[in-house]
Amino acid sequence: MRSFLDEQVNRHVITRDQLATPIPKDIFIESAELGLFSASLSKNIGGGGLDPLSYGLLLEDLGKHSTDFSFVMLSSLFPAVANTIQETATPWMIERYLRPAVHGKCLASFAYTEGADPFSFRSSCEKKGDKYIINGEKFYVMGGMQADLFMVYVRDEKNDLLTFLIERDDDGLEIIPLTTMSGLRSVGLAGLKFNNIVLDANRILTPADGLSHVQRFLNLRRISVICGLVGKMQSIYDDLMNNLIGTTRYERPLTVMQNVQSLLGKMYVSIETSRAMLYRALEKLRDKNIEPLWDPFLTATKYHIVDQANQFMLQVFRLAGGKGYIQDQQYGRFQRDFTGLIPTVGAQDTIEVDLGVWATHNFEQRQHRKKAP
Amino acid sequence: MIVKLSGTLLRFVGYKKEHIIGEARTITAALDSLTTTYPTLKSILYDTHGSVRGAHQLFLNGEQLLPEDMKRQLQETDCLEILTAIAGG
Repeated sequence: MRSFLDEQVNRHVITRDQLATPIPKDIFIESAELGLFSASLSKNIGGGGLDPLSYGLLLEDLGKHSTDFSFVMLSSLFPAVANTIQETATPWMIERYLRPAVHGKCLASFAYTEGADPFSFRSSCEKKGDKYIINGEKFYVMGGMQADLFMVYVRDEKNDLLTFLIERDDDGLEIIPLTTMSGLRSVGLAGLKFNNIVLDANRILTPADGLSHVQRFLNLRRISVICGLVGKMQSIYDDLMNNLIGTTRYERPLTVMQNVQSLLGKMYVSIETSRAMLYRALEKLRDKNIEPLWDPFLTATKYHIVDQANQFMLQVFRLAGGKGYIQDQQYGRFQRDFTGLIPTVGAQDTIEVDLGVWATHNFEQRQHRKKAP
Repeated sequence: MIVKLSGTLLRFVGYKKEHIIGEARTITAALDSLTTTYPTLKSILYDTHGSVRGAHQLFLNGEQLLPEDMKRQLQETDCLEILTAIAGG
């Protein structure tokens, strides 16, 4: 695994970041051959069948050793979508999409965001005879440049949200590369336009209440998206510590100075509180002890770790000084990458509001129960 | 009885958090009354089969309700709360 990461993933990371070049699809085929890509996929379709805790630890380790954080993001995204598809997949979908997915040969992403709340989505499907006509636009699709398949949410005539599977080669699908983002620049971000795409009914993944379907997906995704982040924080910390021990001021290593020790202490707290929350979340997932559509603890875990990671990077720069800013490009890249998690799978500010509403509601309900005879 | 809403749903009820429902013998009847007053809420609250969408959690006097509880009898002093948390991608 380490030689694969060093040779295939880490070696080209700086160029990919500078040019916003999507990670090549072939890398995921190699990753699948090593068992990484398919680790979380069901054994029924040939995957590794890892439980959520074991898989989360694997992703944490991947975050530690991959210097391309976009690769870490995509390595958890594509299997997460495949797992969600499998929940309601027909035998035809399993053969066409999921069995190839196990070998990294069908990369599935999800297309949801339209820059509006889901009740205001404009992307639509219209039933004509036994066909469905898809029109509309999705703004930000992670892995859109590499994906072979898109799990897409569109409105029907009854204002219900339906989920369709749209293939990369379907007539009428336009994939627009987005290259102006500040971080996660090799993640292959794309916009999608649907211009009268004609689909058979066999492409319907959920015929009703796609809103619940996507919330269930996002609920789980909020954890798989941050496992690698904890590993990456740890590897940056170790790297920084190494630099600080090797740097002398006034004939002493930097690490004996109290202001340095204080920041290192804060950063240690960031990593360990993040890891503690992550492991508890993974255990809850393994034990199926969660609210299926929106779990407050899983949501709080995503919020906390992303918040900590972004504060952590500022502290890295305070300690790394000019060397970190001028000579070592990777700290800056990771800082930009980490900002990419702020708006992902539930923006941080939206999560704050939702958790605040939930906490207030929870308190009021407890008061209600106390008063009840 | 009172129906309380929060978050995303407020947009569909004129941003009014509390709604007094006069005559409603069951939870279904209370929600029907609300969606009659605010018709755009209907397709948001219910799926095409007429079931409350999974994204909404219902609580009656602090107790979380299951789909089979919709016919439960209501008292005049009851409080029904609808909690909706919806994330973007």
